[in-house]
Amino acid sequence: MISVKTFLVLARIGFRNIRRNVRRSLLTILAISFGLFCLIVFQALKAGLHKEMVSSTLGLDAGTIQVHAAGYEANTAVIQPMANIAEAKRTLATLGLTRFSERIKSPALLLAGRKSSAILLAGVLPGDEQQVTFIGRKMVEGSYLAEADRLLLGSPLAVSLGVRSGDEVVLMAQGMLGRPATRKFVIGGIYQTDLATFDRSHVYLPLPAAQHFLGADEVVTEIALLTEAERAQSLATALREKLDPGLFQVSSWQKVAPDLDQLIKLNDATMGLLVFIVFAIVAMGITNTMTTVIFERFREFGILNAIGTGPTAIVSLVVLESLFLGLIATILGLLAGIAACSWLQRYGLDLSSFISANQYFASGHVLKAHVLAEDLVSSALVTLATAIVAGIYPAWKASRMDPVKALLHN
Amino acid sequence: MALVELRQVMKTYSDGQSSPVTALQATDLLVGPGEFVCLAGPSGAGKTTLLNMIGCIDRPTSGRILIEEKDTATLGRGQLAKIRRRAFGFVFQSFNLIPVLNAYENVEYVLLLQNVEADERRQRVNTALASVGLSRLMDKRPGQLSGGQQQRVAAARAIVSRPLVVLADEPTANLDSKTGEELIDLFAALKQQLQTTFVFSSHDPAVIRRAQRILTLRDGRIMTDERLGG
Repeated sequence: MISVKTFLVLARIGFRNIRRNVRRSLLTILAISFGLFCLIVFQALKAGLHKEMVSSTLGLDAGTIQVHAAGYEANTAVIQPMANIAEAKRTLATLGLTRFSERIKSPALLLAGRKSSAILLAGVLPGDEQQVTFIGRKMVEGSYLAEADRLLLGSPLAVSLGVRSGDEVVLMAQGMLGRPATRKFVIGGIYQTDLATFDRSHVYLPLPAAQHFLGADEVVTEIALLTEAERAQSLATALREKLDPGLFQVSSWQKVAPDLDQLIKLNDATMGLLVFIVFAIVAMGITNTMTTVIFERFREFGILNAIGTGPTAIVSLVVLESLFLGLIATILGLLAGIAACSWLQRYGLDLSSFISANQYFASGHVLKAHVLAEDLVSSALVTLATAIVAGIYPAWKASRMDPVKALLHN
Repeated sequence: MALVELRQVMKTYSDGQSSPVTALQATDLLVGPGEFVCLAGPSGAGKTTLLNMIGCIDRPTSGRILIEEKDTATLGRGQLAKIRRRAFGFVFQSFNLIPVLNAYENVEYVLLLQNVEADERRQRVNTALASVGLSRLMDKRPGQLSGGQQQRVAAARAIVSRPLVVLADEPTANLDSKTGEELIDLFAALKQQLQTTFVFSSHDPAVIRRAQRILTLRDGRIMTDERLGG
C-alpha cells in the first residue's frame, strides 16, 4: 500500500507529466472530450425525442393512465360501461390526481353523401378533456366542441369525405343495447394533429350528446388521466391497490401504448450500443497514448523502480496520469456538451423532411434536446471510468518493467 | 557484520537466440560498513552487473545475495523495491532525476516513499541539499541545472534516506574531469560525515585512486581486491 503523501506526490508527478508533451496530451483530451460531447448530445436528443414522442402521442388521446371496467378489452364493438364512477373519482382525488377526463367510446361509421369512413367516436367533456389531450389546441376550422351536439373531426378525414365545418354528416353505430343508432350531425370543428392516421379515425362529440346518441345515458367507458409520464407506472400501481379490482382495470401508458414503450426501450438499447462503441474507441485512444508514454519514458520508469518505487506506486502513477487526462477531458466535454444542448434545447433541429410521413407516433417537427442530470452524471462517470480502465494495461506494463533493461534504454 | 554479501553470484544474459553471455562469473564479495569501494575495469568488465547485483536491481542466475545477512533470493518485486528503498541510495551515470520535479522534490521523493514525517522530511532534504552545496538551487528542475549540479542532486537523493550503501555507476562519466573529481571528493566527505558505505564504479584512474578499496574486474571476474590506507 502507498501512503496518502506518496499518492499526492505521484499525483503531482502525473499532472506535471501531462504537460510534458502538450500536443499529444491535448489531442488525447480532445478525443475523449469529443466522445463525451457526442454522448451528452445524443442522450439529450434521445431524451428530447422520447419526451416529445411521449407527450405528443399520449396527449393525443391515451393520457398516461387509463381506468376501465374490469375485463375491458380494447378494439371491440361492444360498449363496456364502468360501474361506480363516483368511487373511481373519489379515489383519484385521494391520490391528488385531478387531471382526468371521463369518456364514452364506441366504433362507428361516418357517412357524407356516398362516402363513408370507419371511425372511433369519443364522447368527452370538453373542459376535462383539454386537461388531458391537446386536440382543442389543434383546431383548423370551427370551434372545439363548443356546441352541445356538433361533431369534431380530423382534417384528413374531412378532406377524404369532402366535408367542411358546418356541413352535415351521418353517424352510424351499434348502441348500448345492440340496437343500431343513426343520426345526422353538423360538423362544429375540424382539428389537425401531426399524426394523420389518428386524425382520420378519431371523431368527437360532447359527452351527453354521445351518450344520448348511443342510448347510453350516464354511461362512461373510460377515464383517462394525465400525470408525469415517468411516474405513470407507480401511480397506476397505487391506483390499482385502492380501486376494487372486481370493478376497475387500471393501465399505465406502457400497456396502453406498448409500441411507444418498446420503441423507447429499443432507442435506449441502441444508445447503449453507441455509447459502448464510442467509449471503446476512446479507451483505445487512451491506451495507445499511455502505451506510447510508457515506451518514451521507459528509462524513467526504470529509475523510479530502481530507487525503490514499488509496483503499486508505479501503477498508481500511470493510472493517475490517465485519470487526469480523463478529468480534464470530462470537464471540457461537459462544458461543450451542455453548451450544445442549451442551444438545441432552445432552437432544436428541424426534422420536418424526415418525419412528415410518420404514421405511427405523433411528434413535433423540431427535435429539441432535453438534458437530464442523471445522464450528465452517468456520462461523466463513464468517461472517467474509461480513462482509468484504459490506463490499467499500460500501468501494469510499466510496473513489470525490468529495471536493468530500463536503465540500459536510451 | 557485512552489509552486503555475495556468495558465488553469477549472471548470464541470454536473448534466446545467440549463445548466453556471462556478464559476471561466480563471485564472492563482502562489503562492510563505512567502506569506500571502487569497482574498476574497462567497459564490459562486469562493473554495472556487479553493482546491479549488490543493489538488488537485478537477480543473479545463480548464487545468493544477502543484505544485512538476509537472503534476497525468494523476495518478490515489491519486497525488492522495499529493500532498495531502505538499504540503498543510487547515483546513475546519466543523473536520472525525475524531470518534472525540482531539485528539492527529487530529493524529497525517496523520503515520501518511506513515509517520513513532514518536519523531518524538510529538515533532511535541506541538510542533504546543503551538504552537496545546492541549497540555492533547490527550486530548479533538472533541465535548468548543469550536469555536475544534476549529479549533486542525485547524490543528495542517494544519501537523504540514510541508506546502508550508496551505489554509484560511473557517476563521473558524463562530467568533465574537474567536476568529476569534485564529485568524488564530495562522496568522500559524505562518507566521512555520514559513515555511509560508498560503492562506485569507474574506469578513470584519477577517480579510482581516491578509493580506499579497489576491486578490479575483467571479463566478469574480480581480478584483484586491493585495500588502501585512508
